[in-house]
Amino acid sequence: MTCREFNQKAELLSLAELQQWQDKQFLQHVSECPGCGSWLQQRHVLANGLDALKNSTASREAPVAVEYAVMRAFRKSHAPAAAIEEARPSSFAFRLSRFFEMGAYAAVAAALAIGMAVGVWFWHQRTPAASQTPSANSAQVQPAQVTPAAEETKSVTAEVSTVAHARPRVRRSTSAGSKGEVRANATNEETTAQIEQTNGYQPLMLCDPLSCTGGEQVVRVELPASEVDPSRDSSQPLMADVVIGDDGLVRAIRIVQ
Amino acid sequence: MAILTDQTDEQLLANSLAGDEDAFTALYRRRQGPLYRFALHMSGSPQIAEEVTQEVFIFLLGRGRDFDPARGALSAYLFGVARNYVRRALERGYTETLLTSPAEDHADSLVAESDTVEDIARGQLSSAVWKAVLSLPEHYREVVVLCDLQESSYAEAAHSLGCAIGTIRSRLHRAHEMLAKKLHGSAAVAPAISTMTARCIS
Repeated sequence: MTCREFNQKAELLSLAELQQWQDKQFLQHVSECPGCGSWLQQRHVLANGLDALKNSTASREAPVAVEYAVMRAFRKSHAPAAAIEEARPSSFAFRLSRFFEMGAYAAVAAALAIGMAVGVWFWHQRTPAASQTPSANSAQVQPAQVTPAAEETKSVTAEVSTVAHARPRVRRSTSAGSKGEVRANATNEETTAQIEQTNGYQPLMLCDPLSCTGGEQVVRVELPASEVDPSRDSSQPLMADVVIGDDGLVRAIRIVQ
Repeated sequence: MAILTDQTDEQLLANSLAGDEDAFTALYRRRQGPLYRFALHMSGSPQIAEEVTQEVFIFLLGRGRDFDPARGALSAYLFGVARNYVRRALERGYTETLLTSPAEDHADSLVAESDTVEDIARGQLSSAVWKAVLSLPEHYREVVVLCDLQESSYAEAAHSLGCAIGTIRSRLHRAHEMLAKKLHGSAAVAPAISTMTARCIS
């Protein structure tokens, strides 16, 4: 046997097999070759050392404390579900707290729903609806009577129609006491309707919805007749009642013959 | 419990996961020793060995259903889990505190029972071998511990370490080469060699 054959055979054997190998050619080569003999002796020492280590630690085991810890983990991993199920039915406080918890959730949900409904209603009230009919959007102002210092007091009722007004109807009746004073008197709908038909005020501009809620003044003015009708003499004055809002803008005009 | 000892590891595991405490106890007592020794041989630290043994069984409680008997034995699976925990423990920076030689631990009792000189020599040899094993790179140490110290077959070691049998064989051969070189230069081995030689002559 050559050293190469020895190595090929030895590499296939485990340490235990090497110790018990009794092949004649193998043993003869070991006795003749000092290098292979030394190699085999190292393997024997290693095998004996590993055996000694294995035998000396064979009795080593985990301490009892480890078993206790592992068994405690086992009980913990299997116990909780049953323990909780047992504990829950007897816990009145737990059920009571759950009841109040659900009640709180319901109250919050109801408050949110009411808040949303109110918000939608307000939004709907404040948003001008283009599709609404002019009559629905109109606001009627019961006009005021303004008495210049030299003139007699006169009661005037004016109707101002505002196309862009968001509120359905606003009626105000005013009566003048002195210059610049506007008194609002509420009237019933039938009376107001009759007055509206006879007064004949013409709206001059779109009314700001907010300004219509304030007091208006009716001022009688003189206009050149030619401004109204070019065919008429410009020297002849024409009397007109002008409704002026709080913001100083003219709302409506009525020609007084 | 007597009936439980007849059951296989896989049956005990199935019963344990179903909540059978006796089955789990039987499985623990059957497998804790090899796992503890594996971790001890790998780390050289009894603290790590205890921790790893505990972690392996707690892992089994949580992830035991992942074990597939078709892929190998439960013992090999447990060694694989233990190997990962040993790696983690060593990566955390545990100092490898080599145990005093088990032969030295039991020296007093061994003196009365048998040849004292031989026992001391064997104790020195096992201590030297253990130091040499601990100095091996991890993937060589694993195969030595599993195949030589735990007496696992190549197939079981391959399953535990997740590699091919041929890889186990080549790693083991290489590890033996390295160990033999380390021991050859160790002074602690000389008395053992002479003792063994003397016994052979006599």
